[in-house]
Amino acid sequence: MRYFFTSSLFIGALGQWLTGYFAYNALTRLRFNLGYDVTPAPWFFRLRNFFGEDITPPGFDEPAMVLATLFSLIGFLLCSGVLTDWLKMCAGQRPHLTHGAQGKPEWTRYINVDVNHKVIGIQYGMSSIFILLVGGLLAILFRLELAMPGLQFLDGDSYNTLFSAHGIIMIAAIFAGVGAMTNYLGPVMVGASDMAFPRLNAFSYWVSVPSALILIAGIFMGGWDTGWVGYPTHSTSTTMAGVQMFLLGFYLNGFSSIASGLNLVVTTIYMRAKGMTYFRMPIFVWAALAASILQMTVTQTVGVALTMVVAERAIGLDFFGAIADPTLVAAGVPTGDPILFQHLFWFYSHPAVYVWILPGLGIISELLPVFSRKPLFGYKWIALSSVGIALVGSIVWAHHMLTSSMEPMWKVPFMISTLFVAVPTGVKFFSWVATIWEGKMRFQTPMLFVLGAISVFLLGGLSGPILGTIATDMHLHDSYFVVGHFHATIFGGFVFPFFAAIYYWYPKMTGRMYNEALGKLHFWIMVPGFWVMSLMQMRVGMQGMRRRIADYGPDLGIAAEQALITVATLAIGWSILIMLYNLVSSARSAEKAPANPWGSRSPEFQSPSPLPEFNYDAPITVVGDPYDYGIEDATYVVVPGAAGD
Amino acid sequence: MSNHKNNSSNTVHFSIIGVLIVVCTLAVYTILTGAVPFTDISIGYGLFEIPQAASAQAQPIDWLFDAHFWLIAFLFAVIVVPLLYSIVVFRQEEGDETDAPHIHGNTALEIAWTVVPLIFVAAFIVWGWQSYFAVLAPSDNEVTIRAQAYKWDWDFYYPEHDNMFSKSIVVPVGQPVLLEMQSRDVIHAFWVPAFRVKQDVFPYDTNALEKNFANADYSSNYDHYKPQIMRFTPIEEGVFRVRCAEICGTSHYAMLAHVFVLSQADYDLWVAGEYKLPADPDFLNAQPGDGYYLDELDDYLNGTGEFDPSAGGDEEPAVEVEDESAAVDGTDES
Repeated sequence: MRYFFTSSLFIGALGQWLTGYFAYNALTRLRFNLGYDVTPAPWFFRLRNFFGEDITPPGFDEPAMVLATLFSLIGFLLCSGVLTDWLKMCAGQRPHLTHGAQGKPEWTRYINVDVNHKVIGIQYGMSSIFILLVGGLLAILFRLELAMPGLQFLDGDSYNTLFSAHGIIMIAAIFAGVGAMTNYLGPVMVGASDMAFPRLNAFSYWVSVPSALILIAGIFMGGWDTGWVGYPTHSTSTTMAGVQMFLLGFYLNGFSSIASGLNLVVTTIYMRAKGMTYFRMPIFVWAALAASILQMTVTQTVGVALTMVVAERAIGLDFFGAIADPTLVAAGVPTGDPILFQHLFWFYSHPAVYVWILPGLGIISELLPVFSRKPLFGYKWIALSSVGIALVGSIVWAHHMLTSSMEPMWKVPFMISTLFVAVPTGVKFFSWVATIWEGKMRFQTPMLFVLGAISVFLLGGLSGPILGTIATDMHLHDSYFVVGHFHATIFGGFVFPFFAAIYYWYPKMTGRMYNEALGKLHFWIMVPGFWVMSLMQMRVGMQGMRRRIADYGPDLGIAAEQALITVATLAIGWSILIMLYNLVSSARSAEKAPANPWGSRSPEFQSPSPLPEFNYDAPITVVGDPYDYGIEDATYVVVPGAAGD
Repeated sequence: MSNHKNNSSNTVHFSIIGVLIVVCTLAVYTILTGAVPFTDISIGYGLFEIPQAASAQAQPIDWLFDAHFWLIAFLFAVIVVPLLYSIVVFRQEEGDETDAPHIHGNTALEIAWTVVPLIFVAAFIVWGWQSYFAVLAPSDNEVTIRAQAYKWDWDFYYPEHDNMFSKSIVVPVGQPVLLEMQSRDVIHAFWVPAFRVKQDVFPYDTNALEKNFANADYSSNYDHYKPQIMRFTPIEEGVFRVRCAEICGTSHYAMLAHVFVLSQADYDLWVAGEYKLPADPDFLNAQPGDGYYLDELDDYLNGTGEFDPSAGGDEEPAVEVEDESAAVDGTDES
């Protein structure tokens, strides 16, 4: 307990809360004294209670809330100590990187600022699972509401808050999960001892924590009803006060993305082991590299878009035309255009989807050869298809706006580019099938999740082109079909591979083996549950159910399907609790795992479990190709003094 | 395993898989649409059933839907059949710890599965293009209806009938309609699932709009008037629900309106103010979940007559309603 209360996590969160609290107090008092119509108050929590009842005090001050939220982030960063080294550098000192637990128990490393990439990776992983649970709980709440027609226990505002928060909180969880995989695996797979910029790496993680806390706090501090997209002019005019917390939490999370993307790109380019050419890297590194390049190049535009909404709300700048001044209009000054936001937003948010799924697809490509005992079919094609997806995926953004007020002619090029995404994605699918073909497959839990991922991602992929052609999208746009399609791509492209990765590298991370029977139970509940959920979501969308609605009429005849979706959602929720139990209990008491339980050729499995502080005791050398299964004596890496085989 | 034996066993494998892919494609298509391909047989349940089409624009769209269902069925089969076949046939045998054959790739195959999908993509670009412009295409005798969307309701105006105001869209069957839509506050979207078409409604220049609302006059030209346009031609008589499809706040889920598609005679009567739509607020504002709503709507659909809110369910009034509509038709002819 003592260690917890002195951890970066606890002190940071406390500092964040106190900074926000006092900043709001001071700012409202200042503005009150300057003559603004605000109520000076020290307490800005609980603007809306959990049942959606608005208890915002009169004189609530939104500009002060924005500044207080920004201050609260700085409070977290200063109190957690992640900035300490940089501040010392500013003061002319030369702080050394510290390694290890500093005399405390080993587990305390995971709740303190630590620069080791494996610790940061596991920190990301634990955050990801925690935030996934929060987001999943929100989903289960509103799925229970949707199980029957009629409003049972939520009203419009609380439903809107729940689904909006579910969206953005899950996105925060996915970014954390991507961070977990790329941070833990990236450096060790290229044979490096750590990331290129360890302090920046720690900063990436520790800035994502307070931004996730801001998002979660936003639910209770007013809530918001804009969805995760936050389109103006709704987001600029909604009276639900939590919208600023949503915008800022989303915005601040972007810092994490940009910095960690940059870090991985530099690490991959400059820190590869001797002999590891680009086409000898494990395939996951290619996927992580493509995702990281996207992350560090497109995130900025959503930052711009969100800043514009924050500014339009807080200080009245007019970007999107909602609050056009009549005198300006009379003078012929053009007002803003709400579609500007949609372009900026989707220019980031579509590629962001590829940031989430590319590492997952990399995990699929990485694990299939190991469990099929066959080389990865068409390594170069799969590697380049990741880059191809990233490139084509950057020019398809307006397919989210096929029913918007864009000029009809401008929708056509985006339909064309969207359909082209099918080509590199198809290369991946066909190569996976060819890898499995004649493979002597072993069906341990990671392989099951990889196969589940392929089946679910196939569901998501096949439901894509029908949304890409404009005419059919006119029917399906903003329907529940999109919800089904999106969840299939994200479960298939991120959630299933992430779980496969957790099971696969669990012995490497903890040195112990998870419980195989519980792992299989998790799989056999989750896969059918997901298929039922996703197919039924697509079905009700086809029949005319809109997305983001708190209630639906019995006139659509979809009540039975809705009940089924809710049951399937609950099944998925329970299966994830099984995984959690498995991971926690196995970490304490399971048998010790060997260094290479899967017979993998990947470099990290040639080093002991858990990995040493600097991954390898001496620099490794790459002398062959990564996936030469089926050739005896084929060597990929030479690890000096390797334990085990 | 000798090379020769390997080749011949591969031939067997590929033959079986070829047959299975064909069977699987047909089966998936049947499950998706509920119709057995190349026959008139229906299995009564299609996973991806779409509502009965009620507009002329639905025809090219549904054709494209059908093409997509074929694509989905075929690609599903192409991936899943070899996948499951490998899992069943090639899986690790008990106690076999050796590796599988060393096959690291095949450039010809890679080029094939890059180029063949490109042909599919090209086909769908052409079909997508054609169907889109078929949906957009204007007709000769369009009637313009102006829609105003706001939180959380719709207003409609008929510029060709002196800006007549209506809470519902009323159109004669077969009449091409040009919807000019504007939002007063946030982005909404107009969607009637049976018509297949959807258009977001943007709040462009809300100031000019309000000025105009005061006069209920759209004839004046002002620079900022930029409505979103959508076309539909109803081909079925009946009542259809308009659903707002863009999240717009608290009561987004209940932002509904109705499209009444009447016969030409009934429509003329309605324009003359002699044909009463169900004006009862309980009917038009009925929330999803109000039990009586559907039955009443059915009565209305079957009867195309006046709506009697006191009548409960599908009891006798249905007959009464039919009589009334007959009487109404009579006055129309005289």
